[in-house]
Amino acid sequence: MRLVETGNHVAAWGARLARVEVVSAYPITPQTQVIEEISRFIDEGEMDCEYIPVESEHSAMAAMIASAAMGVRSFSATAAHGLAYMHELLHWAAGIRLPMVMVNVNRALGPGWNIWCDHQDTLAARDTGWIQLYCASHQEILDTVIQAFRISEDPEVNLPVMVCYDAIFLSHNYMQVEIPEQQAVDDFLPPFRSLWRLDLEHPLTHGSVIYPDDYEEVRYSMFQALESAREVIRTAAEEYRERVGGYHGGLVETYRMEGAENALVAMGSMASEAKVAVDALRDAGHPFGLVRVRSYRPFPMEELRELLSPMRTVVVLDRSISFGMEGPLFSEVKATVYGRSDALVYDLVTGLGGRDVTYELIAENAAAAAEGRLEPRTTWPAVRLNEHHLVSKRGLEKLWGKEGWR
Amino acid sequence: MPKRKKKEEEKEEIGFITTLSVPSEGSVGRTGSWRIFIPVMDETRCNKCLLCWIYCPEACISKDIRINYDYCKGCGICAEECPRGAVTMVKEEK
Repeated sequence: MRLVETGNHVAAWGARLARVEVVSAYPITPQTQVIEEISRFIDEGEMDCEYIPVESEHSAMAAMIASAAMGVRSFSATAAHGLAYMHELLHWAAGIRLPMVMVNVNRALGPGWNIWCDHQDTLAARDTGWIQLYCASHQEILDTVIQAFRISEDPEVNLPVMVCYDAIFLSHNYMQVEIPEQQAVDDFLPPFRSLWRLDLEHPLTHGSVIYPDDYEEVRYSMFQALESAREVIRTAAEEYRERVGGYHGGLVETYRMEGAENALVAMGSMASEAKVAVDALRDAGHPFGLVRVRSYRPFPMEELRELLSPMRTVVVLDRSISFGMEGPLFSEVKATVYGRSDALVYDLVTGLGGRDVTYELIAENAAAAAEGRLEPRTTWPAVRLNEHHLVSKRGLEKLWGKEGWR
Repeated sequence: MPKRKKKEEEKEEIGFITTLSVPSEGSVGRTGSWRIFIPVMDETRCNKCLLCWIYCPEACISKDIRINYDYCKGCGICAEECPRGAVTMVKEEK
């Protein structure tokens, strides 16, 4: 079946096809349509699922932890401030090793109050132990939500998965999507069987006190699970292609990397724009290719080493910033090729708060990098500072006069 | 942690480390040693209303109103809740 739908409705279809049994979520722009559509599916009897309305995102994740601990396939959705509000419980869900899937519509954090796209929200949740997968199209949202349950519930992983996609660009725009047959999805995704569950007949508790003698082993086990998850993500993508159809890459997707001497690295919908930039750069005689990071946690270290080490120039597009350092993706790409490459690595921080990233901007700066006209560090190519941006003494004099607010 | 490519008979070993526990008596030792004040019951004033049994957060008071001093941490909730003043908290000499 072929539909023309918003990315949010497509995410709801993913949950429906995955036969999710519990949904707990709190509405937040730009995620609201996800749970509206799920509510409609349940109301119209198309989904056999319990919807738990809650008073906050903190409670939404608490309810998810409870339902996953009952051995039930659980799904949630949030964005930006909602993700920040449930941050503590993200650690609990991953630490107790509960399989579940949540979509996060990547939205900028306030202030200033902004409902548009950037990746600051999920990158701030980077070290919670959640797997993070980033989508670049509507079809990928659908396919990744279904794959995410397979990855999450794999006995070697047992970790929650966050499926991330860009606000407005993907969440609200309409695109054509192929909805797979339920039978094909069922073949790919068997019913959830957890290793343990809360059960009145066999009392068990989770998340209790542990002393320094044991805590480090819990963290080590999480670390190892994310290491194992790399192969599980690759396999899930391959098997999905065979049984259901549709492939968007394993940990990474590449575009025109054959014969490339320079590479762009990006995540999310900005990577689709970067493909157009690659074509333009190739036409202008710069042999660029693109590596799209699809799995940010676990980070595709092997793939990036193999692909990027032979490059002369690597230009990273960061849709977030680590204040006091640099773009987070930039730091990690550099760390990955450290000691294995002579490539100069550049960082373009742009697209924050939903600012449009054009292929012209990417191509222009990538060409400057390849020609050595740019510094190999973090640059902000789209920033234009005007007087109206500044809280200045002169500007405030208009409000309070020369004496100031005192 | 096990690697992905395992022989069929070894698959049982796949697992992970986390904080699951089965509730049991004294799993973290004799917590009665934490106590500074000890609850002392005056049976002549007790009318067996069982409020102390309901409120004790450590399940240290039995239904026949006997206090398990091995695990009572001396929190004093029983003394606070008792409507007849039958429980008194006394500084414990050690």
